[in-house]
Amino acid sequence: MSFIASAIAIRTAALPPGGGGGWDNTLSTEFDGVSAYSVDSGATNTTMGITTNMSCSFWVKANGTVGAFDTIIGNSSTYPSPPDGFGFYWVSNTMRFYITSFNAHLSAAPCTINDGNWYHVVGTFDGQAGASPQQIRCYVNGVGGTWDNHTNSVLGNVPLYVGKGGNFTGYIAPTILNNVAVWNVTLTPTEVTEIYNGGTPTNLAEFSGTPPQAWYRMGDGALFPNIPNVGNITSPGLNMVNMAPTDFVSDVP
Amino acid sequence: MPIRTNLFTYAIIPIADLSKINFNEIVTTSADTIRKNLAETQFIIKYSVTPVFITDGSVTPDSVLNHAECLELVATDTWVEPIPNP
Repeated sequence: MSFIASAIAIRTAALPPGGGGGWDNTLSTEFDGVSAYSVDSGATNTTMGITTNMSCSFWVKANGTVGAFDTIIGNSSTYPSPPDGFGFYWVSNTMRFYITSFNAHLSAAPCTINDGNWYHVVGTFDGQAGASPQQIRCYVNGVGGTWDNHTNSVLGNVPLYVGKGGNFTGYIAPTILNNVAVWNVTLTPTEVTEIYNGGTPTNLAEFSGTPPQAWYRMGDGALFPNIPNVGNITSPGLNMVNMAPTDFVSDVP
Repeated sequence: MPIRTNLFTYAIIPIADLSKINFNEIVTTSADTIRKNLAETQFIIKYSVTPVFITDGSVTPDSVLNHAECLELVATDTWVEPIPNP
């Protein structure tokens, strides 16, 4: 383990925030679906400037069998029936992105996650009154799913969890995650297509739109047990819980 | 594409033995981050090398599972609340 940690430390020293001028995407982070997760205590709705508009993008692959309603990323205080936050979960071969209510305010997009392939997932939300159309929308591999009208803010102020959907026990998806990012703006379909890039992650430091408030490479530039935030805001980064240095894996989209 | 193989071992431990766990020997971070069942009668630890507190008999797991077996266990209703009318 110490050798791996040292090797990752060398990567940390070599890479400036965001990956710098070069784009090196060689590592992802593996979550076991049992107890492993990560949390950035400094990335809340308040610190990220999230009220009525937000987006979240990530690359995901199953690490075992993902079960119905297993969560992947979010900031809800409870589950099921969260009273706040946003989140992603999987059920019935669809990836679902919700705002506040996991079964009332959501978008679903087809995603056969247990086939062993990598998927790019984006959730976008525009909760301003009169926003039109597609106030909540989930995209998988650049293709938009169903949409839902919901006029509200993203409630609550739970820190961002990656590896599960918030500050609760259970319904943790076994996944491998790469390049997780959160914005305080609503990404357009064109911007989602740019990030998907035909299935190859792009360097978000060179993204044509608004830079993400939080951005976790999920391996490159990380030093166990910390996955740094190389986005706009300053935060401690993701603290890896119930995990090991070997959870950084050379499996990338 | 093959699914990755998780090589951690998962042990299901009676909650009464929580104070006997040396978290420095295992992957599980601390007593505050353990995964408990809903009744809070058992918890899960994971490790790469069998910890001394198990090999010396200080703690006897109720069961020892691999990753796939543990995923099946935590999907049961003794470990997760049912979903209300999705």
